Amino acid sequence: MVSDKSFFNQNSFHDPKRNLGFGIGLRRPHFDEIFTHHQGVDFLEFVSDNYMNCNDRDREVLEKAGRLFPIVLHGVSLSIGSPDPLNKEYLQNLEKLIEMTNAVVFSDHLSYSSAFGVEYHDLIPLPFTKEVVDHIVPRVKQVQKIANIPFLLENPSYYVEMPGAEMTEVEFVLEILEKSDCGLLLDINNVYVNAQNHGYDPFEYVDAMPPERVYQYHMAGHYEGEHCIIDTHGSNIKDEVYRLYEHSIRHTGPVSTIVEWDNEIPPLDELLGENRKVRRTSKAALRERKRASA
Amino acid sequence: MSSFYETLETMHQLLRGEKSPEEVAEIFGADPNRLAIYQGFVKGHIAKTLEKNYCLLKRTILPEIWKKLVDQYFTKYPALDWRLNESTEKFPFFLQDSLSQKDLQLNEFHVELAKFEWEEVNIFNTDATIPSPTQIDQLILNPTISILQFTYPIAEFVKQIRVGKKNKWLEEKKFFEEREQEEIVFLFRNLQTYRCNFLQGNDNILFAFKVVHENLSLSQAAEATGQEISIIKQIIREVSQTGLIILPKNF
Repeated sequence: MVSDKSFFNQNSFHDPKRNLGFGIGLRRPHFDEIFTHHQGVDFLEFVSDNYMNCNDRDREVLEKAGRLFPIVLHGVSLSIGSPDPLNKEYLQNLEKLIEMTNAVVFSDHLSYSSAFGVEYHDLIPLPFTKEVVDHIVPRVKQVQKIANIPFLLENPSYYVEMPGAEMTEVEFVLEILEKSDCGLLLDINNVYVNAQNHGYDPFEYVDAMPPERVYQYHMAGHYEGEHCIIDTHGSNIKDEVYRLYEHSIRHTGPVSTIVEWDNEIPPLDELLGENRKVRRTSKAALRERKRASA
Repeated sequence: MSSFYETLETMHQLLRGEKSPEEVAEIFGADPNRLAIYQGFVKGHIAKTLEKNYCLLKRTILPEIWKKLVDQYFTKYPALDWRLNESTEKFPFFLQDSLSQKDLQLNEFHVELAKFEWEEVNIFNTDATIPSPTQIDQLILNPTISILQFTYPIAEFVKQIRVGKKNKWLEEKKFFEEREQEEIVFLFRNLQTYRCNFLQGNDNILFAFKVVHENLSLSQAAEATGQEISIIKQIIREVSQTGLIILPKNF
């Protein structure tokens, strides 16, 4: 259970940073257009790793974006589960970027992307064990100290369950979130992809997440590969993922939601269309939630 | 040794290509096809970044040899930086070291072209700020500048390839012919377009560069060359149009 001292207690439901509305992950091809064409975009997400020590063009985009929208940062290279110490240079750069962008929330993945001094540039799954929980919790606390804004961990997609699991994925995620008092960036597409690939019920997964810890949502597309479903962020969001999102919104109430599209990036209009669909889905779910509680 | 450590060590061997998905599948009791996804992703990121950062070089190399180069580079130079681009920085050094490997059919031209392409990536990504003319009170060199020396006609090759038209010079592979004198090439990011520009050093460019680099006044430059100040000024103004030199507003 979440204690009253936790950042993520009943008060977090009223934290405006938890409900920024409906945002998109801003990627390079949309840099020019976004400032004149952003109907329905309430906030922007930037991939932090791409803007550390960035060039003046990117800096200009960040500054301009910061004047128009709230900004959230999302990283891929923190490597919270790595056996190596956290990269000090990376943390310093992240801290500077948070300061420069006035970001309101920052996040990364519950996985690792480097080990034994080598970078993989991909999110590698961790074993669901107590040893890993004990390894990660102090590292999350170390990251939380770099800025006075909430840090969130995202549930990553994974195609192989690492050997030696002592608990389920849900138990693993919950134990880390609660022991480190960390918020969750719930990637609905990842829940769906993992549920299909590993044979569990995605609705039960969502229901198991304490609503007050769910601080942000990701929505994205996936691809049905030969051997499993791959989380590609390269297509429209599938209907099944929308259904799961609707269910999750009924469970958590309104939470900032970001559409991510990283491969085969479409014209901005298409991305904005997906953003509008997410908004409609969320609104419908909230109306139903209200009716149910009346 | 902990089981966590052992698991990550086995994964590391898979991701580095030291163990096959089948071998790891046996240890983990997992599906080799799914393990292969991770092995493919990790190597694929480096392969794609090499292809992006050294796209011109790739065009001069047979596909089967390019694949060999990517494989060998991945094995010999594990990525040590979380920035993907930086993980391909050592590619020109790797090519230099591989010149003696006859089956790769490489020569110094390839090494020089790789150096050029890496420098473009580096300049595009540099966090140096280029001041605008209103922010400076004297002539300055573009702070993103990088100077390379080549024995092959690298700048000409890049220019011709980017124009995109077939021509005799390219078809006859004249670019593989070594020059008698080294060529100086300036690379820098343009203040307005943010794109990386390059210039082959000619007399005017080298002269203007020297004046600004050595912080010479116009009269000192005129005295040293025996030219009129107005001519010196004209040369500097012309070179500044390229973005290599930044003039103060009142120049």
